[in-house]
Amino acid sequence: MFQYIVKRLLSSVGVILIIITASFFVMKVAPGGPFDADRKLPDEVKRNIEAKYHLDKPLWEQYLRQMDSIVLKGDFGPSMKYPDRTVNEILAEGLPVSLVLGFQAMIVAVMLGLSAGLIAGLRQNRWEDYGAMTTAMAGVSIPNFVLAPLLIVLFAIKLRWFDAAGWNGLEKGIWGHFKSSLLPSLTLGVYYAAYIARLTRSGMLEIIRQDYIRTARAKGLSETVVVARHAIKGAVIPVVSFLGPAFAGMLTGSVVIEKIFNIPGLGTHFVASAFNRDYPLVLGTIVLYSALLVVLNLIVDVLYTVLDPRVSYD
Amino acid sequence: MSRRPAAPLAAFLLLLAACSSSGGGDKAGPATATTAGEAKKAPPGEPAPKNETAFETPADTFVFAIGGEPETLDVGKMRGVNEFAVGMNLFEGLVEYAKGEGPVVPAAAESWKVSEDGRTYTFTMREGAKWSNGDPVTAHDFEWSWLRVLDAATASPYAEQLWILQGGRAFTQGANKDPKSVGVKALDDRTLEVKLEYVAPYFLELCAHHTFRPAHRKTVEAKGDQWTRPENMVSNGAFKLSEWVPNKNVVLVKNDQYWDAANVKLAKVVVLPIQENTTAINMYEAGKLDWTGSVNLPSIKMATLSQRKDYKEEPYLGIYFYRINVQHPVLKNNTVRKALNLAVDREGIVKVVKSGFTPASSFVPKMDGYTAAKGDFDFDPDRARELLAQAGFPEGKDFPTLRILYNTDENHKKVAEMIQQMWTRHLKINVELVNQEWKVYLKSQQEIDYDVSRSGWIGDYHDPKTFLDMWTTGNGNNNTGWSDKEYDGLIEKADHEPDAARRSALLAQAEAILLDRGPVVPIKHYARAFLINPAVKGFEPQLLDLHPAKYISK
Repeated sequence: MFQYIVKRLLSSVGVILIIITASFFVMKVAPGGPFDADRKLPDEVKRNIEAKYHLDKPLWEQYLRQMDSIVLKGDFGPSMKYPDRTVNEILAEGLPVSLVLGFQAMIVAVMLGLSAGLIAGLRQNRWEDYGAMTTAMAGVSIPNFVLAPLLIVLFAIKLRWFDAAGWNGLEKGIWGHFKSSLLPSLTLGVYYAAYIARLTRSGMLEIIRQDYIRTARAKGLSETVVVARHAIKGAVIPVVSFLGPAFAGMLTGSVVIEKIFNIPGLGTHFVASAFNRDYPLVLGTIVLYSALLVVLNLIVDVLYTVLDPRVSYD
Repeated sequence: MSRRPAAPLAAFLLLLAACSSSGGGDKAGPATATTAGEAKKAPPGEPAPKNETAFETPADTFVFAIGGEPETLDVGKMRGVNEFAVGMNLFEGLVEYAKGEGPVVPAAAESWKVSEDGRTYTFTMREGAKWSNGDPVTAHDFEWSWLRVLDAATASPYAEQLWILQGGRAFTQGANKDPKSVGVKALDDRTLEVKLEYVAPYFLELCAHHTFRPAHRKTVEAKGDQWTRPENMVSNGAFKLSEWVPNKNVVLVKNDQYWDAANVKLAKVVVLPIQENTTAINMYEAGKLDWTGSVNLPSIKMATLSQRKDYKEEPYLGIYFYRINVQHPVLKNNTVRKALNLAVDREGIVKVVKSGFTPASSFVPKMDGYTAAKGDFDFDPDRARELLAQAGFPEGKDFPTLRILYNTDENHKKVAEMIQQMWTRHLKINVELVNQEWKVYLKSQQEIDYDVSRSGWIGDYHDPKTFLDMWTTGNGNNNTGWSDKEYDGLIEKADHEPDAARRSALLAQAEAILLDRGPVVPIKHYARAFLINPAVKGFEPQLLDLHPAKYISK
């Protein structure tokens, strides 16, 4: 197992290096540069700025400089769009926010999804099942840019229970944080909750027909124990395999949510840095996201072995 | 208990009402959606929701939105309105913008003299003006700050603004490394002498521009790029920096050291960078914002918004126009360009686009001290057709397909579609729309790789020069290939004309040439549309949309 993890991590490093290289050249191919604006910079001014950021050097030299700085020092350099800040700072500010948002959305997704899915699976073809599945269908179908404004109008503008936008850390207390983060977490989580509900339901339906469940029942175990101890574990395996991509999706897919709720996370930079041609920030976000994806996938693969005794990597 | 189901029901109805207002599409009835409209639709028996927003912002705090995170708070490196909205409250120039429209007022300088030839300004610094750490604000601060912006090593993107100073350009180029060669000099702590490259009656106003505002030398030298952090920053404006959380907020608090602190009523200014206009409006409606800042939404939403009592529109010093590539085999013919101009129904466009825009009859927007030339292009499809026939394309026959380039945006698309339709219908020519992502579009435009290109230009100061310089031969912002000796000559002559009235007339002559045979289709003059808390006082219309918080109270 340990060997397996080490092997995976090593190959990941290679993958990330390739990603950096590819991204570097692709973004240099894109027309326009970080300092182009509708008001053209005079040539001498542009030259001064390019010299400051080494953009006047040949491409290979820029690449080596960048690689050297990233790989050896873990330093992405200064942002070109936000000259007062370094990319490392920007990532360090945005990442925790995005992680918290993703994590809370995950809790929403798992709690809502699992309970709806279990109920639906255990009460197959009854009204509970139809109700849960209809709701899930709606959850998958309603895009978040529709759901978010609805929630905002109702809960932030009319009722004023929660914030219409913005993000408070814990400096404003737990309630302050909750007020600003509930609506975005909910909006972001609902789609995945719906998906998880459907996965759980089908998982449950499959497991409940297995021989070992019949055995458990035959032993005279109560239905609650059968479900809680034996069935759920099997039923959530498809869910677990979905959680990795889901969490990654929540991190990268939070762009829209972050915009609507004006949340200072990474999603904004992920998209905007490319539009701004802020080369160092583009690389920074790409590397960070790839690293997150690699790690998440690894965690999921490891979790498999815990949940399903049939899976082994040794 | 029997009352309970009513609450979710009412909530659901409100939700539907909200849907119909934010959903867009159909404009079925007059009932679509002001807040007031929704109130009327609430089920009978329910208390009607309040007509106006109940604000939750404290009385001594002004909270407003800007369209995105400020790139920098280094006053010498600022480029855009987002930066300046914060910067103008932190740093004070020799002069300051007036409350509302009007000439600039004394600030860090208390008086000044202008030499007869209009090219030397001598400022007397204000006695008792201080930085937020207590240091006096001196003429040396300005000399050092201006040289810093010009210095190649600073790499300020706005250095060009200071090339109005004698020798400024050479200093940026590195052609002349001697700071003494630049036309700014502190004669003593309280006297600043400025020598200009050419005559510029607008120079005083420029002194209020961000690039001309001072930075604190000791702090910048000690802290480098980090000097703009709240823990480091020393500023000389009415407010000082207390908190800066990127993409979240910038918090300014009153600067007690400020010379005019007695007249500053706000204790706090909170600036929220909000990219999405809809989000700003949501926050405003939730009572968390006093001023949405300029909002620019699809016209259907603007129509809804403009029904509100707290909705305001102000003219803004800018022009929305189309550039015409005069290197194009057909478009190089001015008769064709005239025909294109005459076939544009500007009134019609403005009616659809809303937001307070006005149809353009000139290139330079309306401003005091200048009578803009009037273009001869009032909507006249018959004459347009005639001219096109004269140019050899009767009924648009054999006219090559014309491509309108615009950067991807809902509103630009709308205007482009309308113009496409006008040209197709009135001139019988084929028009295609091409949209490109912002930076790609900029590149196409700079390389003159287009037929007709959507453009906009916002003035830096109240003078026609800020709109006319760009059309001189080879100017970096010309981007059309247009060159006219007579035009260049007039601009050059105006630069050496000390008499304001005569100078203004020269510029108007130049503008007339631009409108008569230039590479442009002026479409509309800009406006700013926004929502503002009715309790806010001291917020007056201003053509540059600059509203120093020192004038504001609630």
